[in-house]
Amino acid sequence: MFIKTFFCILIFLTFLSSCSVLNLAYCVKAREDFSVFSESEAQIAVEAAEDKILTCYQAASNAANSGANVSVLLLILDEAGTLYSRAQLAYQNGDFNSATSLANLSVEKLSNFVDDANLLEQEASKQQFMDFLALAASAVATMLVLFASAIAWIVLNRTPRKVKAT
Amino acid sequence: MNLFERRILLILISGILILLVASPVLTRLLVFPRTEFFTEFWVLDSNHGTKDYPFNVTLTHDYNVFLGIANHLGYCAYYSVEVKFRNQTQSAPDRFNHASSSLPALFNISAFVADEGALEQPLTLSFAYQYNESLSRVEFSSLKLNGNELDLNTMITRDKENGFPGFLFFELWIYNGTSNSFQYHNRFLSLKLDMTV
Repeated sequence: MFIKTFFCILIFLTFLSSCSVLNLAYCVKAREDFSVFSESEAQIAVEAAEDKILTCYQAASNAANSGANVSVLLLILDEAGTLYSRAQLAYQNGDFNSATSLANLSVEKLSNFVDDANLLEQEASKQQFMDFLALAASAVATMLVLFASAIAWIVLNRTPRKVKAT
Repeated sequence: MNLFERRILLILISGILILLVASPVLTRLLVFPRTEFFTEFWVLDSNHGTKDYPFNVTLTHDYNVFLGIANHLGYCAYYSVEVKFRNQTQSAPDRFNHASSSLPALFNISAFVADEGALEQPLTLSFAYQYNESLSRVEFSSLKLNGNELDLNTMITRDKENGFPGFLFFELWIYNGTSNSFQYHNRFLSLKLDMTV
C-alpha cells in the first residue's frame, strides 16, 4: 500500500515538474515571438533604417555616376524603401513592434549594399579608364592616318612625270 | 593609272581608313547633348490606359491603378511619393505657385530610379466609409493601399451635383543631397472620386 502511494506521488510530481518546464519553455518562446518594443526603440530603429537607406542611395548614386549599371542595386533599395515606408506607417499608428521589425528588415536587406556598390563603382572606373585609352588610341591613330595621307599626297604630286621622247 | 586616278584612290583609301580609325571618337562626339532635364510622373487605369480611371467608388471595393515615374534628370534619383486625400474644401497642391498641399501624407512610396530609367508600381485601393444620413455627409474611416491600412479622418459633404467628391492625390518629392532633405518636385496627380452612398 505504502509503495503504491509512493509511486503515485512520484508520478504526480514528475507530471508537475514536466508541466512547469514546458510552461517555462512556452513563456520564453512567447517572449521571443512577441517581444515588446518601446516607442523610443522603434524610433531609433526607424531612424537607423532611414540613415542606412540614405547611405546606400549615396553609394548607388556614386556608382551610377562612374557609369556602373545599378539597376539591380536600385531594386534592392526599392524593396528596402517599401519596408521603411511600412515601418514609418506602423510607427505613426503606434504599432512599435511592427515598426521596429520592419525597420530592422529594411536594414538587413541593405547589409552588403555599400560593398557591392563600391565594387561596381571600381569596375566602372576601370572600364571608364579603358574606354578613355581606346578613345585616345583612336584619336592618335586618326592623326597618324591623316599625316600619312598628307605625306602620300605630297609624294604623289612630286613624282616626276615620264617625258615622252620626241 | 594616271595621276588623277591615283589622287582619287589616295583620297578614297585615306577617307575609309580615317572613318574606320576615328569611329570610336565619332560615336562619342556625334551625340546630341541633353538640354532638358525632367521627371515624368503618371497614373494609369487598370488597363494601362486613360479611359477607365476609378470614379464611382463603392464601399470596400478594390480599385487598381498604376503609378509611374521616369527619370530624365541626368542622375540616379531618390523620389518619395506622398499619398494624400482631401475633400472639396481641404488644401490642394498649387500648380502655379509650385506649392504642395499642407495636408499630412497618409503614406510615402519610396522610389529609386536610375537616369533614363522608369519605375511603375501597381496600386490597389479600397475605401471604408459610412454615410451619415442626418448630416448628409460621408465619413471615412480608412483607406487601404496595397494592403496597408491608412487612417483617413475626413468627411465629404454633398456637393451641388448631388455627389460626394473626394480627391486622392499623389505628390512627387525628390531627395536633395545638398540640403539632405526631400523637396517638392512640383508634380502631382489627382484622382477625382465620387463616393456612392
